[in-house]
Amino acid sequence: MCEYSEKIAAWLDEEISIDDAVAVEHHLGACKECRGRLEMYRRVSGAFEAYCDAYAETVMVNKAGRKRWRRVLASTLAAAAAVAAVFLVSSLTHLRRPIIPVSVMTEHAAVARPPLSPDTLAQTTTAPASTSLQRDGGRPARGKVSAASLAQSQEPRWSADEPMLEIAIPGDAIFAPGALPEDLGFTADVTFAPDGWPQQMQMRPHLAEFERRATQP
Amino acid sequence: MNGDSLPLILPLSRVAKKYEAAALYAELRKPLLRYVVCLGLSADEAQDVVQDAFLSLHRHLSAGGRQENIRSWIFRVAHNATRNRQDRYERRFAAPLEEGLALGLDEITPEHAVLKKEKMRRVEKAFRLLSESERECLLLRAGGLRYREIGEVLGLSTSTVGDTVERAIRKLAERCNV
Repeated sequence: MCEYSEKIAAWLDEEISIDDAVAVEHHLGACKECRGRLEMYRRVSGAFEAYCDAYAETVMVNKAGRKRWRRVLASTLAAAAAVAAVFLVSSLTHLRRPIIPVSVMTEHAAVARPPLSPDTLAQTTTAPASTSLQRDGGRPARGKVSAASLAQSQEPRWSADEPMLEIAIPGDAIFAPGALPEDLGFTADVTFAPDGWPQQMQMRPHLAEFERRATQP
Repeated sequence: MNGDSLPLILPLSRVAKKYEAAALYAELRKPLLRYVVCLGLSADEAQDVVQDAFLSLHRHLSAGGRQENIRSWIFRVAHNATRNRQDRYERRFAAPLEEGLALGLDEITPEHAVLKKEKMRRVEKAFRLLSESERECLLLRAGGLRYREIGEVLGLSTSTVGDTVERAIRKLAERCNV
C-alpha cells in the first residue's frame, strides 16, 4: 500500500497543513494507485450513504405511516359513532312517529344563511337541490342566496313550542384530521315536539372555538 | 410573557451558547438519528436516544464542560446508549433482509426504481458481512465525522480508523460491485 494513504485520509478531512496538502495533491496527480483508491472511496461511500438514507427513511417513514393510519382510523371510528348516534335517534323517533324529517342541510345553503336568529332557524326538509333556481319575490334568485331564502320561505318558523337543542360537533370528529380548517366544526340543531320527542335535526358548519379536550401533552 | 420567550436581558455569552446549541441541534440531529437507526434502533427508540443525547449535551455545556470535539462527544453518547440496547443491535444484523427500502419519489421510471432497489440490497448484504468495527466506522463516516472524531467515538487511534474504513470500503466495493 502506498505510503500516502494515511495522508490522503487527513487530506480528505482537511486536517493537514497547507504544505502537506500540496504534496498530497501533487502525489495524486502522479500515483495511479492512489487516484484509483480515492475514486473507489468516493464511489462506495456515496452508494453507502444513499443506502443509509434509504434504510433510515424506511424505518422512520414506516413508523410515521402507521401513526397516521391510526389517527385516520380513530377519526373514522368517531365519525361512524356520530353517524350511528344520529341514526339511532332518528330510528327511535321513527318507531313512534312514522314521518320525521331528519335532514342534513347542504353546505351551500348553510353558509349563505344569515347569522343565527330564531327567524332564520329554518329547516331544510323538503327542498331538493334542483329547486334552487326558483324565483323569490319576482326576482330570479340564483345560487346560494336563493337556497337560503327558499329554505326560509318554505319552512316552518321557529316557535317556542319547539324547544331546540344545539349540539356542537368538532370537525375532526367527522372528518379525517386536516380535511377541514382547524376551527371549523358543525352544529346540529335538534328540535323537539311539544310531547318531548325529537322532531327535526339539521347540521350546519360552524366557525367556533370548541372547548377541545387536550389531545397531546 | 410565555415560557418560551427570552428574558429581555441575557448575558451575551448565554445568548451565544443558546445559539450554538440550536445550531448544533440543527446540524447533528439528522445524522445522529440516521446513525442510531442504522445501528438497529426503532424510530421511537432513535428519537429517545437522540433527545437524551442532546439533553446530556445541554447539561455538559451548562456545567461548563469542554467545548472542543462536541461532534464526537455527542456521537459517543448516542453510540453508547445504542450499544446498551444490545438486543436491538443483534436483531438488526440477524434479521432477514429488509424488503422494501424507501427509495424516494425521484425515480423516473420503474426500471430505475428496480435497479436502485437491487443496488441497495447488494449494499445491505455486503454491509452485514462487515465486522462490527468496520460497520461502525463506516456509519460514523457516513454521519460526516472525521477519522479523528471516529477514533474519539470508538476509542480507536486515527490510523486504526483509517485502516478500518479503507478495508470496509474495499470489501463493499468487491462484494456489491458499486
